[in-house]
Amino acid sequence: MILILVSTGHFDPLVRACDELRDRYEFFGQIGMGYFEPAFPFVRTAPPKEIQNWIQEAELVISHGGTGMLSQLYQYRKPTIIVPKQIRFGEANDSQVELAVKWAELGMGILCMDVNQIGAAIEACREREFQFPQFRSIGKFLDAP
Amino acid sequence: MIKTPFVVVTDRGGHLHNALKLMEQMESRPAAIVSTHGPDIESLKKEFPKVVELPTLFRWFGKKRVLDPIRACWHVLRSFLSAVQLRPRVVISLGATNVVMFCYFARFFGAEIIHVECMNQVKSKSVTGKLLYPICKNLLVQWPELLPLYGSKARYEGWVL
Repeated sequence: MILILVSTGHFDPLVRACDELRDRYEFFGQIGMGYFEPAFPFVRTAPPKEIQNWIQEAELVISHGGTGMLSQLYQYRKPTIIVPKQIRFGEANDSQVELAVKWAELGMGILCMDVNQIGAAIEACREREFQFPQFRSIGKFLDAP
Repeated sequence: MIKTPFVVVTDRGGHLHNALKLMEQMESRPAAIVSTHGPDIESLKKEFPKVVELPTLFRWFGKKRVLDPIRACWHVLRSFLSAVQLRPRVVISLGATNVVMFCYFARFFGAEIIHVECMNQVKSKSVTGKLLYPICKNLLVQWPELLPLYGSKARYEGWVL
């Protein structure tokens, strides 16, 4: 199963692009407040625990580029395609782009800036070996005497 | 480094998620969490002894964010009253802009401010980071690329994960 995560907002262009590929791939979507309803199974929102279970079950995840979601995917070391929400997709700003680019540079996901390239990104994701470097913890720094 | 009691101040959504991740890493527990209202706030109240809700400064019209003057006045008042009531010695901020007023009032009453810049900010400063830097004891960036953009109070100590 390929899990699509768009958070609580809208990301209709991504959901629509995946819907066009529904005969090729088995999708399950968390589509937020989007207006477009795909033909594949979906929910609008779900409790964090449920989303975590889906992440663990999924073969790969197609996610927006929000920090909360990417950090969860990092914890599960999940093969991820990151599609940052952007102004051209109706978002208020491009604030997700910097992090999505960085995530891909570190080898923790595949960057897909154009929703029309999602099929190619899925194929690339299936072949890619991902790296998940370890980072120091701010919490430990704050706790230190 | 942290002197108790400390308060964590954050905004709904990803900022709150990161605040919770940070608290998972830490042995010390905050005396209170200050946050704007969101879907997670009820479960937060079950988990932490004191959760203070702040009204947001902005309203959303579709994708457009507009400053709401009435709500903004209420936000300033609530931020002030919360800072008076909590009187933290240390405030850990995780942004976004809704935390700024509380941090300024807390600083006025003597608190040390530590701001953790959002993970989204890889090569550019956030508005919250710019506004809080002058009153921060430390500003913790989550990517080393961001260090040269801030001054000597900025540090890179890893992630909130």
